[in-house]
Order: sequence, then structure tokens, then C-alpha cells
Amino acid sequence: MNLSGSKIWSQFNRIIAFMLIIVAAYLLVPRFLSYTNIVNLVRQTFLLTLISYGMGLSMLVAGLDLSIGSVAALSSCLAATFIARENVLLGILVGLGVGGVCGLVNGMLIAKFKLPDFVMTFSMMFIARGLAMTYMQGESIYGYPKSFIWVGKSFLGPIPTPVIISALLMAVLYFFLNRTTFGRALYAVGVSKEAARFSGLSVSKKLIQIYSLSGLLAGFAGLVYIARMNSAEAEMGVLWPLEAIAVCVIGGISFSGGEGNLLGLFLGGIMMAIINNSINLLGIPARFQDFFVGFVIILAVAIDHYSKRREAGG
Amino acid sequence: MKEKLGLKITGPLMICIAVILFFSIFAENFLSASNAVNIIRQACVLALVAFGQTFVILIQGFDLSVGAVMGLTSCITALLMVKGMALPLVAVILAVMVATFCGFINGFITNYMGLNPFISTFGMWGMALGIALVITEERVIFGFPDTLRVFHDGEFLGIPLPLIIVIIIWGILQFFLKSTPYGIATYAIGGNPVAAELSGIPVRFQKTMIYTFSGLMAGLAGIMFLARSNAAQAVDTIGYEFDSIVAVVVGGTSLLGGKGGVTQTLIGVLLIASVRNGLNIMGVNSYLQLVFVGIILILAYLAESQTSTLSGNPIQNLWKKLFGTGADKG
Repeated sequence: MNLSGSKIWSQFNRIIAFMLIIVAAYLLVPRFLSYTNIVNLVRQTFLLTLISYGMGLSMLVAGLDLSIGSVAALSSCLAATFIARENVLLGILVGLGVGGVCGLVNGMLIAKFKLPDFVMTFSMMFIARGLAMTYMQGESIYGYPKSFIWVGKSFLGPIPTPVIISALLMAVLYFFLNRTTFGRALYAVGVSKEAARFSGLSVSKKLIQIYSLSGLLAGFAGLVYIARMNSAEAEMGVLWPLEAIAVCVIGGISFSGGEGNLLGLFLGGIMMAIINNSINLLGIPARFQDFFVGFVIILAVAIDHYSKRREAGG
Repeated sequence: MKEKLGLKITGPLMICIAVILFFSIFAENFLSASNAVNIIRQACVLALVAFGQTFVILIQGFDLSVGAVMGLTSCITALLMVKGMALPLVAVILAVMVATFCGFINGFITNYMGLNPFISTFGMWGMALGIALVITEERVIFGFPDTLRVFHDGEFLGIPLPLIIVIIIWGILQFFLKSTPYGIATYAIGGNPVAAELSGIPVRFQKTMIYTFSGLMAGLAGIMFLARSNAAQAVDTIGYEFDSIVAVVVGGTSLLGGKGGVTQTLIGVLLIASVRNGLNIMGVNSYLQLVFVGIILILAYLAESQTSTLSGNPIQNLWKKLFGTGADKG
């Protein structure tokens, strides 16, 4: 078996699909390549990748973090209280801290008590959402100081700030995943927990770290989101886990773990952004996106599954 | 066969009794006849979805789409009736057929295309919710003939009609699971799909049928929900996927498949309904209830998986689990 050959082939498939989607969007959607729309696309891409980092990391270790949207809502609602009172730094710390703690709880129970990742993060999804809704009581918190809104709304030169933030984050994560032993260990855990343990890795420690990191990233994404919206409400991010899964599976991060990389995730983000953007520009009701995200996930995984089966079959 | 009904005095039942005791003491009027009827009426919708979910979990699957499919069913029924396009009964049948079809798609994608049930049903969740939102234009649909109310308000010999429906369905399913070859095959598939395949059970087909059945039950639950609320909204039933999974797991059906049954689920449903009702009476808002239900799910799973491995002082064990530095068990 020529392993590297088949790997290139599977990437090739993905890039061809990618090209086809762009061509289709260009032909079908008016004003698709206008300047404003491209800026829009870039921003959407980076926001989508920003919410998908945590999901991608947990999928790398053969896990899943369904709680990202709710954790983002909880942490940024709490953070917004402080930020609206001009305590920007404290607010940011609270936001990241709450996210990290939620992630830590996820990781602890998954790693130490052997709760299935699905059960734990599914429960956390409702627990965090319930706490956020109880805290907010249907209100929203808005009116932040300029220094905070800058994070979400302004431009550095021609580039929107959230794009720069997400790109920087991606660079850091890329370095961690590809240039450190921590990253190598993650892939090892994802491929086989047994093998990783026998080669002396502390698997449960890695799991706890990853879920904590995922929670932290969710808190971070929540902060960027409320800065962009200039308002925080408990209902934000309901669709995030669904969208993040879509981005990851389109980007070639496998559910079985240990496969995929950040560049793939970025590609997935671009594709998802194009799909969402085209739906908007074609005048299809925004709510139809729910349908489409679900459809895209199934399609992407099915294609992935079939191409893999073909490779395995020779 | 020690117990014919598969009923054991185990964790779930104990927790159930404890919860009822707790609320009887701390929530006023919890233990009154009218409230008991109230709980039962609330529990019936959940029981129907949870029956379908039980079968899916028995074969090591999940159905995350049930909440959205329920919403879709009630929206279709309501729209057909409001626009006068169909008689209530025809509307109900059409909508339940759509729900069943959703279940079939779930089953087909999961078993014939080999997708993780989690992805396929989560995808279906998005699709069903999207369609429901589009056809209702995100509005609440109301003002249709109240023929359907009978499914919630109706009584027969003083017993609420929804309860009678649930009991009849429970009886059929219990018989199906314990006394027919298909039921026994269901357990076999859940216990070990490969062995089941080798012993000649058409595993894929039967699994697909079970997902289809779950869609059907979600459809029926959607109709009953519509009868109760008398208005349809796409997002109203979101959350039933969570409650139904919790009810099944709390009841004692193992997420690893092949263990459990509809009777256990009935206990789980009663537990969840009592908790929600008790918290309501105590004035805990519905958001905070989500937190409680989430914690119950975690605890139920822990109780199930830890009892066998732990003995001795529970607090010491907890400490060891959390901070132990001994041999890492991965």
C-alpha cells in the first residue's frame, strides 16, 4: 500500500470539491466576488474557524465537545457584566476562566470517571445553557467600552480585527500541534488510547488538558462574538456545535480521532462560509441554514466514509 | 428469568422513590391527586418519545433528532388543519408519516451508509428543525379545530386518555421485546452485533426498522404535544431529545446496548416528570431545571458505571479518582 499516495489523493478529492463549490457559487450567486462580499466571506471564515478549534481538538483525541456553544454563552454573559461596567480586563479573565472551568469539569469526568464524551458534553451543553439563561432572565447586556468593541468590530488596515485574532490563534495552535511533543501526543492518543498508554503517555491528563483548552477556546470565541455584536444574550451560539462539526468533518478531521489538521479545518471553514454566504445572497430564508448545515454534515461524512472504504478496499 | 417484567429494585427506582419523598416534603401539594394526574399527563408525551429512544439505545445507537422531528410533526399537522387542507385525522396521519420517514432516513444513513448515528441524527435534527421553521415562517401556528384536544384532555372511565395510550403501547412493546423473535434479536444486536449477524439476524435491516420506529414514536409524541399545547411552534419541542435520552439512561438502559427495556424507561420517565413538576412547584424556573436534569444524567450514568468497580468509603474513592496519581487507567 502506498500510504502517502492515497493520502495525497484524498486531499486532492477535497480540493476538487472545494474548487467545484467556488465555481458553482461564482456562477449561481450574483455579486459573489464583489469586494464587500469577499471581506464578508473572510470574516465569516475566520469566525467559523474560531468556534471550531475546540471541536477540532477534541475530535483529534477521538472525542467530541458538544458544549462549546453553551459554554461560550455562559462565560460571555458573565464576562459581559464586568465589561459593561468598564472592567474590561477582569471581564475577559472571567470569560476565559469560566470557559476553562466548564472544560475542566468536562475533562475530569470524561477522563477520570469514564463518562462517554457524548454524555458528558451533552449534559454540559444543557447545564451551561440553563445557568446562562437563569443568570440573564431573558435580558441582554450591551453597551461596552470602545476598547472592547475594538476587538470585534474594527479593522487593522483592510483586515477585520477578528480575522487577525483568529489567524494568530491558528498560528499558535498550529505550532502546538505540529512542533511540540504535546501535539504529537495528542495525535497518538487520538489514534489509539491503548498504544499511547503503553508508550508511557498519561492519557487521562491529555484528555483533561484538551477539554479544558476546548472550554477556554469556547470562552474566547464567545468574547469575540459579543464584542462583534456589542451585546450578550443567553441564547447565543445554539448552533455552534453543529456548525463546528460541519467545519471539522468537511475539513477532514475524522470522528475516529488522530486524523486531520488545522489547515483542513481552515479549508472547512472557507467552504462552510461560502455555503452560508451563498444561501444568504440567493435570498433563501436564513432559517433554512439549519437544514443545510445538517445536510452538509451528513454529505461530508458520507463522502469521506466512501472514499475511505474505497482506499481500504484497494 | 428471574423477573418477568424486567423490573428490579435497583438504583433508578430508589432514586425515583427518594425524589418523590423529597418533593412530598419540600414542595407543597406535590403529593396530591390532582398533581399526580398532572405529572402523568406531562409524562405521557415524554414516555412516547422515550419508548422509541429505548429501542435505539438498545442497539447501541442514539436518536438526537426526536425533538426536532416532534416539532416538525406538530407544525405540519397544525398547518394542514389551519389552512383547511385536510381533516384532523388525515393531517395527523400525513404528519406521522413524515416523522416515520425521517426515522427511516436516519436508519438508512446510519446502517446502510455506515455513518455514526450521532452524526446522522444530529444532521436530521438540523434538517427537521430547518424545514419546520421554514414552513411555519418562524411563527406560532394556532387557531385550528380542537378535535385533537381529546388526546390530552380525554378520559375513559376516569383515566386520562394519554395514559391509556401509553399503557397500551407499553404493553405491545413489552410483549414485542420479551416474547417475539424480533425483540430477542434486538437484544442480541445490542449485545453483540457481529455475533447477531453471524447467527443469521438481518442486523442492518432490523436496525433501520428500529430507527424508523423511533421516528414514528416521535411523530406520535409530537401529535400528543400539539394536543396539549394547542399551538405549534418549531422550537417548542427542542429539548425532548435530551429528556428522552436522560429518561432512558436514568431508567437503567445501558448506553452500551443490549441491556434494559421499556419498563425501565417508564420509571425513568416518571422520575424526570416528577423532578420537573416538583421543581416547578418549588418555583425553580425552567432554565435552571435544565441544569438539574443535566446533573441527573451524569449522576445516573456514574451510579450505573461506578457501583461495580468501587467499594469502601465513597469519599475516599472520589478523592482517589480525582487526584490519584497511581497507575493511570487511561
